[in-house]
Amino acid sequence: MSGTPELFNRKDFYRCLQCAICTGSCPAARVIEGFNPREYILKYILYGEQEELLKSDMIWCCTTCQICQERCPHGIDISGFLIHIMNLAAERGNLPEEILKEIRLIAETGRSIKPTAHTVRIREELGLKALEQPDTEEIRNILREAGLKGMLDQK
Amino acid sequence: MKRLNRNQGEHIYNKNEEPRIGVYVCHCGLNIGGSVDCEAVAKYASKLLGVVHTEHQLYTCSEPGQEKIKQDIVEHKLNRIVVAACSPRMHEPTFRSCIKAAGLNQYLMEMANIREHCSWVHLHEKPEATEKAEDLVGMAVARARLLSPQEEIEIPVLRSALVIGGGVAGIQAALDLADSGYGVIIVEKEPSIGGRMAQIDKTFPTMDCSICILAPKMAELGRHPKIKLMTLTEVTGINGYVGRFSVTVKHKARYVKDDCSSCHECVEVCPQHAPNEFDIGLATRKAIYLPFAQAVPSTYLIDMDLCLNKNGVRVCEKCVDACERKCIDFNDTDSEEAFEVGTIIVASGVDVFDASEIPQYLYKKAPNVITSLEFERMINAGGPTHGRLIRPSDHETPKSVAFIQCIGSRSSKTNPYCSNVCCMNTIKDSLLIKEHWPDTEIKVFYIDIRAFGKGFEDLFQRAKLSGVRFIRGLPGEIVQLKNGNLKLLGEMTLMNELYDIETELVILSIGIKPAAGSSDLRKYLSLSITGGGFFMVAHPKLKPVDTSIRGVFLAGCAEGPKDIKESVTQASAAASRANIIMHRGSVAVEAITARVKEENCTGCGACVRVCPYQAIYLNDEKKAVVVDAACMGCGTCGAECMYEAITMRHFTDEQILAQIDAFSEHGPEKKILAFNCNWCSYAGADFAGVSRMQYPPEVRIIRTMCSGRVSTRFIEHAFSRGVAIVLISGCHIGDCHYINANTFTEKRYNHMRKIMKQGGLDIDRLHLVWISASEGQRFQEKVEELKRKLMSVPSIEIRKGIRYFKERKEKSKKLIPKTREPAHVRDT
Repeated sequence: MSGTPELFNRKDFYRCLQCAICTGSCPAARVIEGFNPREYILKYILYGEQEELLKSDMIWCCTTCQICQERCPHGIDISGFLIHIMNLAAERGNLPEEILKEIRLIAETGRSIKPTAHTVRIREELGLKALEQPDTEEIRNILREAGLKGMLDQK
Repeated sequence: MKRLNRNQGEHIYNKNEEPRIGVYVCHCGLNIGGSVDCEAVAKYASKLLGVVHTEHQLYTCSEPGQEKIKQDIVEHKLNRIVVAACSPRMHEPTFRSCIKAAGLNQYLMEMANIREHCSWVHLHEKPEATEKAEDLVGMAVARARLLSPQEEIEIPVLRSALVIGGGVAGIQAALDLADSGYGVIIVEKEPSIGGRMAQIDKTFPTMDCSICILAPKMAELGRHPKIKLMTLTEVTGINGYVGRFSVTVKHKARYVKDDCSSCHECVEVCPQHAPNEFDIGLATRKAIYLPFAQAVPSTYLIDMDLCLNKNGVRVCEKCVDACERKCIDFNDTDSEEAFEVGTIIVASGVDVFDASEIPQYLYKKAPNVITSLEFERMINAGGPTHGRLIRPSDHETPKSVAFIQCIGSRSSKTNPYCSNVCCMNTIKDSLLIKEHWPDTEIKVFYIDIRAFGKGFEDLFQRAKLSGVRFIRGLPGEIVQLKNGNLKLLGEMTLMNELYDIETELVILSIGIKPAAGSSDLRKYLSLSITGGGFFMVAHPKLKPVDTSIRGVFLAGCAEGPKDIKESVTQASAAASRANIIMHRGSVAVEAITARVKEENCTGCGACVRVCPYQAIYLNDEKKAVVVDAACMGCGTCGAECMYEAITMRHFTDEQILAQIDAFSEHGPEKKILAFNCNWCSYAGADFAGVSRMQYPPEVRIIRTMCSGRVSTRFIEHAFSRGVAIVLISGCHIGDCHYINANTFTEKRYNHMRKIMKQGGLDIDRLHLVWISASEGQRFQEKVEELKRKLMSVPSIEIRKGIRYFKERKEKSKKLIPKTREPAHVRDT
């Protein structure tokens, strides 16, 4: 379906018993209504990869803590599956605004958190050397290779 | 169709008679006909040397199909029959008796397996499958030309049986056999018979008291004059074959003589305590004890690990003083015993899954998480709490209980199979709680409720009606609260809702797994196992209690998880199957044993060294002699003999070489030749067929009884004929049906690779793989791997092999005395 590498074994999915141990264990499901790894697996088995899932903001709630697959009776790689879905979604530009902001920040500054005047001052006080400017061009190239081409260049 | 008279057309085999072969290609409905052009195969066969008649039939095994063969034998004076149909493991006996009825010796029949090894595994490649079927028929015809009649010998069967395991299945089988008049020895490793059923409180779906219906059977067994009961005993070795198995057992010392009247005085005075195994540690016992009230034998025993008197040093004699009948004997020692039996019934039963393997359910960490077996002991009036359900933390009766299903079952991390009994056991248990304490809130967390048996659905409904709540979706985890209660976190899948439920007691519905000792038994008896480690039957539908070893039968959970009713049914079936053999008093042994050509024998003794059964010895004239009754026909001696002095009847060198010749007639450089042993690998390939596992059609299989039969001569011959790849396949090391014959296979394989290396050949053209009867997938994967290899063998390599092995053959000819008879019709 796409150029992103698959991080899970499709055959494994058909072992799913819908026992719900994954959702029952999921810390994200506990706080975010509607996030349900068990249901994603079921829908995948029944209908394949769906546009609906790729457009959903919900999938980004997975923290990839992997407790689901740790406890799954068949060790189905549920986190791997969700990362795959996130990759596909990102490739199509279906990224939540918050994550998009973060990506752009990394692309522009090479950092996930912008150094503030305060942090610069503290570093000086502690005698740490001044922050160097990362090679943003290289970082942009890495992000492009990782499938975020559209995201970076659309601006 | 005219029916044949039994004696009509009787003709006696004449050694000089030209082969007149009839070939019967079976469509098997669409099973073969769907992917093989049977008509074309029959046409192809009609052109083969020696074939005088061919047919293609819808069902050759049907009555009309068999009648046709019988008629043709008379009408066309056929003296060899080739049936191209299913696996010989399926219908060889059928067609043997068919031709026998027409007056032909039953060994003058050969089968080409074009179903399991062809049509079923190449469903979508009709031209290739047809070509393969033609090859297989060609190979069968080549072999058929060289078949000769054989006479079977009958060996006597001892009219006594061994039953391994004293659970309900073993008890039933022993009683059935003893009641039929046979002597039975029953071996149980625990101090009492009774097994798992003795531990359970009630049985589903009738809610009978388990021990109340079992105890009378236990007592009956204990006093039966035909039954010898051996408790605290384990089997340590089994040799021999149907009719005469030699068994050795080890008795653990009991330290109490069977004069014991179970008066209990000794227990009163014994100072040592330990957890009671029968109550899974929920209660204690003394160092001298009886496992449970109804135990058979009702003789006490001493746990020497716990007793204060060790290694002959007496520091405490309280029990000795208390025992009026003077039954205590500290000088008792472990002992061994050997005996012979005609048949064996394996009823080795199951162990339970250890729930602490699933850490998030807190078993052994939170006191109020218990297993279903612990519950059984608690709810039992004879158990540690006298039938009161309590929470281990505060000994209060819980007001809410949660059952969690499928613990350890249906998981590729633990037991991959459904344990079969837990759903109904939980439903029964929930009803028991409701019966005693109707206000208890009961929730059952499940994935699927499997209530498939008679009366099971009714019981399920009863549980729901009585207020038990069934919630679909197992908890992700259990959290222990300060008051000892447990919080279950999970999702109800039918409502798409998360739950967060507090309960006072959790009961884990644990699955079952093969008994710990069953892997030893498997070795002693060379039994095959299926995925979950349970013993494999000879045929899953039609021989559900037979094993692939004649005279050995299965009963109860040793074969797979099952409930009491099924175990008892199977036990009676196994007893009945054993009865058939013992009642006849003899069994016919296949005429496949070794014969020595004295004129070729140099007395080197190589055959004597490799025979797994010590069935060959050198006589005073330094000639090898085969003991017919001891020879099992594996053919390892035949493969080892450098002078071609040993003939394996019905699997002769000439026959196998003729099969290789036929195989290599058409495009050997594009094909894979496989030698599969009858018991494991051939059966494994059959299993791949039955399961429709598709693999490349380039492979053709030659069946030998054991991989040890595969002589380096066969491999050299194949390569000298330009065969691209040769695969040898046998049982796993340690699982060989001929004790250790496959270790010689491995040696020959390594030797052969050395020879190939010396000739500068690609040693990767010869493969060895161990495949058990249940490993169809392994065979499929191996063929796929070899197909990839096949693509990369260049023709220059093939030619090099032809040249090298032809030269070697010329050289070795000088070694062999010139007495070798040429095969009487050899197709070259």
